[in-house]
Amino acid sequence: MSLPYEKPAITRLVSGLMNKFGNRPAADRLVRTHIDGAPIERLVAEHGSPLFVFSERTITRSVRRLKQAFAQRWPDTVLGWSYKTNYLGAICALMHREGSWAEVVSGMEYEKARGLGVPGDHIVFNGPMKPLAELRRALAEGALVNADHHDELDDMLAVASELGREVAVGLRLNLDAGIHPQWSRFGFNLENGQALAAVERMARSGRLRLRALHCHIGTFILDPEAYGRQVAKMVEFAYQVQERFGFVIDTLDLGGGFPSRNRLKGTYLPADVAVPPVEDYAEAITAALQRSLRPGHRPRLILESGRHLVDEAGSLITSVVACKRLPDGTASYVIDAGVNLLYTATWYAFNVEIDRPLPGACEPSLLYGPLCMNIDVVHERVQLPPLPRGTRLVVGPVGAYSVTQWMQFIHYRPAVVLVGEQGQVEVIREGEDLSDLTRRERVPERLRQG
Amino acid sequence: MRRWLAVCAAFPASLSELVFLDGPWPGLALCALLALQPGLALGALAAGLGAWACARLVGAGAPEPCGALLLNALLVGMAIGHLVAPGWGCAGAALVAGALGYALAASLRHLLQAWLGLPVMSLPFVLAAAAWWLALARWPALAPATSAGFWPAGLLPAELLALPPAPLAGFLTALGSLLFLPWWPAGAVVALIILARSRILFVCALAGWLAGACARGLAGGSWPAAWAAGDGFNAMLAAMAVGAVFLVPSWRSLALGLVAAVACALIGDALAAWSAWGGAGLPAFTLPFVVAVLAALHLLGTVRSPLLAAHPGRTPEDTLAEHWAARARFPGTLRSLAPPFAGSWTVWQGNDGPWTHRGAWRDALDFIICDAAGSSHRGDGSRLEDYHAFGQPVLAPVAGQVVAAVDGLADNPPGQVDHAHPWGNLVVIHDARGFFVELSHLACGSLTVAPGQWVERGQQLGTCGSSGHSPQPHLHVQVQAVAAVGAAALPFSLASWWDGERFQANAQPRLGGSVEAVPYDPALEPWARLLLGERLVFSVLRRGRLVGEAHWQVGMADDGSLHLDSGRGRLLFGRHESTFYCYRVEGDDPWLRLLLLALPRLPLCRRDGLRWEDRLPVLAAGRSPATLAAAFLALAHPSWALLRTRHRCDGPLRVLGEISGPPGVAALRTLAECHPVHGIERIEVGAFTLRREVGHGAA
Repeated sequence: MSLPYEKPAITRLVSGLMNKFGNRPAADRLVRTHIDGAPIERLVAEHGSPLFVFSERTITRSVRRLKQAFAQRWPDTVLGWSYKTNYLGAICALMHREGSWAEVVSGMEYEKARGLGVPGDHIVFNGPMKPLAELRRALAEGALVNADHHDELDDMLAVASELGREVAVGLRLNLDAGIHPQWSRFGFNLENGQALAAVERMARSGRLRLRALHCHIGTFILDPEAYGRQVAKMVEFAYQVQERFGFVIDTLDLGGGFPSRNRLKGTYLPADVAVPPVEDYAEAITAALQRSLRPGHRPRLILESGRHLVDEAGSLITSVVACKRLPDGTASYVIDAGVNLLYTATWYAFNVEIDRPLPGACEPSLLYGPLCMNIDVVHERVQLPPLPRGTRLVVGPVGAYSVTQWMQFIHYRPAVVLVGEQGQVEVIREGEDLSDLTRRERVPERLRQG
Repeated sequence: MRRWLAVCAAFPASLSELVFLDGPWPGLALCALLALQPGLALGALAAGLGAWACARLVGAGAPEPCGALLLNALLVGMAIGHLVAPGWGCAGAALVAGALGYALAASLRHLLQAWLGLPVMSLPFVLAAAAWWLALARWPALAPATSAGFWPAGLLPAELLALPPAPLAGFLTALGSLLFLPWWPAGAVVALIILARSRILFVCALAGWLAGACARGLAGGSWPAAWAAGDGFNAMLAAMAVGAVFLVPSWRSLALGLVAAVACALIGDALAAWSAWGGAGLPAFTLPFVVAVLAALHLLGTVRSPLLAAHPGRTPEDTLAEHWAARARFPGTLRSLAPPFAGSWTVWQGNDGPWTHRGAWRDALDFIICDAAGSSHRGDGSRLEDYHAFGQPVLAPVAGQVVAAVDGLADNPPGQVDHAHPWGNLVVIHDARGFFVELSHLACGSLTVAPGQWVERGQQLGTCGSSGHSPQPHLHVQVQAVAAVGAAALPFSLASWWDGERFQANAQPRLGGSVEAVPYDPALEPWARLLLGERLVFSVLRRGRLVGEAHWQVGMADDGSLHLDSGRGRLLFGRHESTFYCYRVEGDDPWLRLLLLALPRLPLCRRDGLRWEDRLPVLAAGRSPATLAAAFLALAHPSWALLRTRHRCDGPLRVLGEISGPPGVAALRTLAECHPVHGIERIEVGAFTLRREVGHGAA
């Protein structure tokens, strides 16, 4: 057997030790031959490449760890599974099996949750656009609907009149919890009095009863204390509302934003160092609740975690289609999955693992997707040894947002499999074929050929 | 009009008490028997009037003479009717006798109640009747009665009268003697009245009489004399009172009743032989019964016997079923604590535990946190941080003032203990209900409270540590009578928690069991929204067809307990901790019983899948032959006395339930729904539905 040709290149010699920030030495290579006991090669042989693989074990572990973190500190904590993170039926069903509610932001997601058997009163309905018909259904079925703007309050009032009864709703706040940039486009601002004015409007209407406050301070929040500040402000507002309008807040919805162990582009530190353990978040939140709540008032806590629960559970197996050396000498590879499947590549610097130990010095390499588009870059700089054609790469974590933000563009979307707790592999979404594209298309008769 | 009706109904009702029954109907039947001897009826009527007049005269006011006071007056009147020939003289004497009898009964009742905590029984009658008996011998103007007044004497042929064997005739005659009618057909009617109301009472009567007669027969040697003893009813009454009325009916109470019955035979014969009593020609009246029962009750009260019935019911069957239901329903204590933590913890050492919960500290609890595998730690448990409980919040189980706080003692490494400071870091809180709670082994430096500070329930006090005599991080909880650290522990119970399978309103957790606090939810408050004076109107439907209407009004009794009053009965309800209870139904209202069945208790707490169990007396399902038979069989085993209820929340304002009973008692399904503003609005039990009619029910 002949060794693959390797273009001569000069690389800087580095020691094999981890640097002081916890980054891996450049010469190190990550090898992964199995996912939860299922061999990569077998997965590809049976289900093709590229292939999304989810690990049931990782999902249940992260859900249970988050629940456990709150179990002794604030037992009445509900996880509202953020559908937009990953609304594959099997993944949602798994979350619901673990006791999660559904957090939806569109009529489609609401319908999907109901279709999966989630009762209306176990659904949190957020988002800046809730068409009247969907709002009507959600309110009639007892979902917690968090109002986003004044026009939505109009719609809620209309629905309350139709239903002929008082309707209990939530209010989405935006506030300064010390996180920049501050998310101010959703909900009503707390500091400038907008939120209080909205509650006053509810109180005057006599048809809307405020029962929940919602606030999502941002995403991938690496400072647990930000949640403490958020909680303190929300509780203070809750009592302001109670004293002025008599509304008793029984639910505090803290939104999501807990980070996953993924690595944002431009972060120097690896996730193991940069991301605090979830127990720190639980401690910051519940300590703030203990400090600010009045005795005997124990509202329910809702956490809309998505990314934190599912990101690490998802991997994408992809194959090297071609190896190229760019004019500036940079090694680059064309792989069979691009930004059509990994929209998240825009902000994440993924881990890239190879499916077998390969010889040769690692060098910074570029991973290009299969699209005939210049933007199709999966990774701009990843340390890889020379990869022969056909090498399988395992890209991760890709559990969050990938299979909801992926697009059918140029290539078909691949299959998705779930590796169960016992190591069994089950297809949870079949790979697409042409019929998926053409099924809803209509070619006018006059344009048909032959 | 209503008032006069009440005055009149008091006559038969108090007469019912002669045979330990309640309500006017048994008394009315007994009144009818009195008509057999018109003198008796006249005497009773005049004495009743005398009692009423006396009460008016002394300004006793409400309540009108009733119960034991009136009964004693009536009995004295009947004695007069028995001794004096019917006529104005008899009526006048009975009127005076009634008034005096009432006055004597009122005084004696107060003395016995206040000094000895005993009921007055028919002691006033004995004293008054003896006085009249002796005095009448010197008052010839009052013509003595003759047997001529007993008009039915010739109605029945002699062969028929001689038909029952001597023991049966003796038993029935003794029953008749209670009404001064020593004639077995009259006794047969009394027997039927008792049998119709309470089988247990009848069994006691029969067994008691037999015991008394057998004692006399064996000791005296003459069986015919034993069967025919004129004061045989004393043994009967004593067995009824001790065996079934004042004690919770059971084989033990029956045995005690038989002892009392034998004592009656002894006292009766002693009285007959006593020159000052029998020698003076006085009969025993009910003196043997009164003496035997008062002595028995005094003894049982002195030793705080658990056999004494806390709330005697309408019949012994009710007492029995209510007693066992109450035992099963309320296992907790009045020292109820919220779990001093959030989430699910496990009892590591329970009451009377093997290590430190011994002697004076037997009533303490130790808690740890266990994972799914049952281990209290991760890894090998060599570091404090490995322990699930370490660093978890410890919350105030009661509202009160912190009276002692210790902080700064180091947490021991796992496996080691600090003998010098066994209680470690701790907080002692004074609860205004009259006790102190100590929480021990908190983490070093974790205390967030200081002595003098007021804490509310659920407020964080510190975190779980391993200071003091603590080989692994755990939380020690005890209740004590004094503030001193480490004082002797008192029994306590935990309120509003989930044991892994069902909600516990107020109970002691078992060793190894899990305890998870279930928080109170104000959104469930409409269930308990029953305002004083509020009127509730329900349509009653049976299989969808309207069969009646129920009108209930919320009221408060003199003791402060709340009830729904329908006029025919009362449902007592209330709250303890975060649970709403329907305690019991008094009186005879089938619709109130439906509410009791549908909502025996309701946790005003929030938890997904909340479910709970309860026990109700079997007679709460109505008085059908099956339930009455079960109540009787409960003499043999308490499980016959109980209905088992399983309820669960189906949404915040809907409760579904299943009720199963002892064999033969049909199972029931229940439903209760609540309106967010008006409160309870729909009750379904079996084929019946109560539908709230809002609008004309406003107070």
